[in-house]
Amino acid sequence: MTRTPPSPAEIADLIEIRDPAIDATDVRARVADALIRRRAWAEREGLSYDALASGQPATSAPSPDALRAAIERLQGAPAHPMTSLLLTPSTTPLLGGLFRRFRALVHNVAIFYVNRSANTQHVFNQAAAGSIYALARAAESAGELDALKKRVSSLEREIRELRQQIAGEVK
Amino acid sequence: MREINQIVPRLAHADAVGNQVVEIRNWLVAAGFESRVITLEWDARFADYCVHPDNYKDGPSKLTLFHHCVGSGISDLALTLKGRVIPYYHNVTPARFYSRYGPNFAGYLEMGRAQLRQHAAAPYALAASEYNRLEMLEVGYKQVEVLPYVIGLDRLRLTVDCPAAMDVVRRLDDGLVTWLFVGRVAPNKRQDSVIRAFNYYHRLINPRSRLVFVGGFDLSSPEYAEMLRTLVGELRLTGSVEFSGSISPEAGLAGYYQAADVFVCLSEHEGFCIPLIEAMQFDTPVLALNSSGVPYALGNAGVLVAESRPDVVAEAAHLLISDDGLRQQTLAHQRQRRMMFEPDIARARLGEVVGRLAAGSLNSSDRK
Repeated sequence: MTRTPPSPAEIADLIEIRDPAIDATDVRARVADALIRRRAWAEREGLSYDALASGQPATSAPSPDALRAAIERLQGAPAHPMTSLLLTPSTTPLLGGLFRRFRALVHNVAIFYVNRSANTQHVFNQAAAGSIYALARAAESAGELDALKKRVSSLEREIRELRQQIAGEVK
Repeated sequence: MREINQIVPRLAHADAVGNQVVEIRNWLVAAGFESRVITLEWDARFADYCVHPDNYKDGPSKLTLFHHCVGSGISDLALTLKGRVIPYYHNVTPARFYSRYGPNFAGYLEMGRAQLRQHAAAPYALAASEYNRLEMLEVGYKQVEVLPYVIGLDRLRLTVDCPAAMDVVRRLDDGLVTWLFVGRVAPNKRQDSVIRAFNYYHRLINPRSRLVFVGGFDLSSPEYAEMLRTLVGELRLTGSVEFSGSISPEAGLAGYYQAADVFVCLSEHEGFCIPLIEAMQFDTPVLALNSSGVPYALGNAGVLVAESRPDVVAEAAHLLISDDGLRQQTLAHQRQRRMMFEPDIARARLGEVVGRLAAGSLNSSDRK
């Protein structure tokens, strides 16, 4: 899918700034300009601008999905898995209050151990995810080197062009 | 003894509705009223004044505030009470957001929308925001007044220097640009849209960046959380996107706001959205989708986008982060806006509205 950068007129419908102290027209013009420049830059870098602008991956290179999903599950566990006490009441007359207090005590003991266990699991998950992520990064480093080489070539080309431009202006 | 009670499906600690119920009860008790919360389940901290519907003794002289936020059997109780009942609407998320990621919960939301209409005959009602008020008028309510939330900004301010908040600031102060969104991980909050916009920013604008989500995982839609994790993996953002889980002020919430360079909210449904006000409190520039209750919370502050286009959102966020002039202008207006939500002002308003209702409950013989 090709995502055409919005025109300044279209940007006016997309960005709303209600603060009269801010020059909204200027902001919209700068966003429109940045979108055009970014597309040009992405194409030079061999990145799929349309994909990125549509929220898709930048390259079509296969991703080790299974490994990534495993890492995500490990890292995605909440850092604070604390559970609080919620009680539904007893409708038993007289003894209901006592029974509720007893249940609260039992629940609190259970919650203490659940939270402690969840914390231990969280620490383990983080450590495991860190190790697996480091391994995955190492496996990907070859691909990243290629991307960096491309980037260096692109920058060298830009420098050459700028030098030629400056030389032309000096003459 | 004069008695004014509140009905709420569930009284949880530190959520928007729970906080408001407690604030109202505190005011009523300080004013000399007897006040209970009739609810199906409650946090143990509130056990002293919570009562299950089965144990509640109804009476014609009792005034009751019915907090409506989700479909629940307790709504029927509110319809059958002998005394006057005032609905207080906190908004119900449209069921369509959960049809894919939590169909069971979607049923409760459908029920909640239907129950909102069932109470529309009430001669007077309250809404937690202007957006909610307009929704109520749309379904047939006649007279609705806005009773805004008492937002715990004072509690957040007290924890700015707490060890947990300082730890967060130190951890995130590493030269990376931080995008932040605070809110439950839920389908209507559209964390997936934020991830897609961040992906554009991270790949094309600034790779030295991270995205942090603060908020508990919605147990009603575990599939949505799973989809987000898969998306992060597919976009190769592992290591650049962090899910911190639910963070209370005491656990360092203020630290996240302080460390953030921009607060990005692409939520498609909010009754009000308290985190927007919290972000403004900590001078974090806000970029948000113009949807539901969001513009009513922001007023003229912040920057709004009409669509969650990743390219437009990312470029607008980049301007807010990198252009000091625009940032300062945005923050100046946000500082003015946040003054309206100071807890003292909200408490005074609460006292005015609830005080009027309480006085009416003593003098008036009108019944629902």
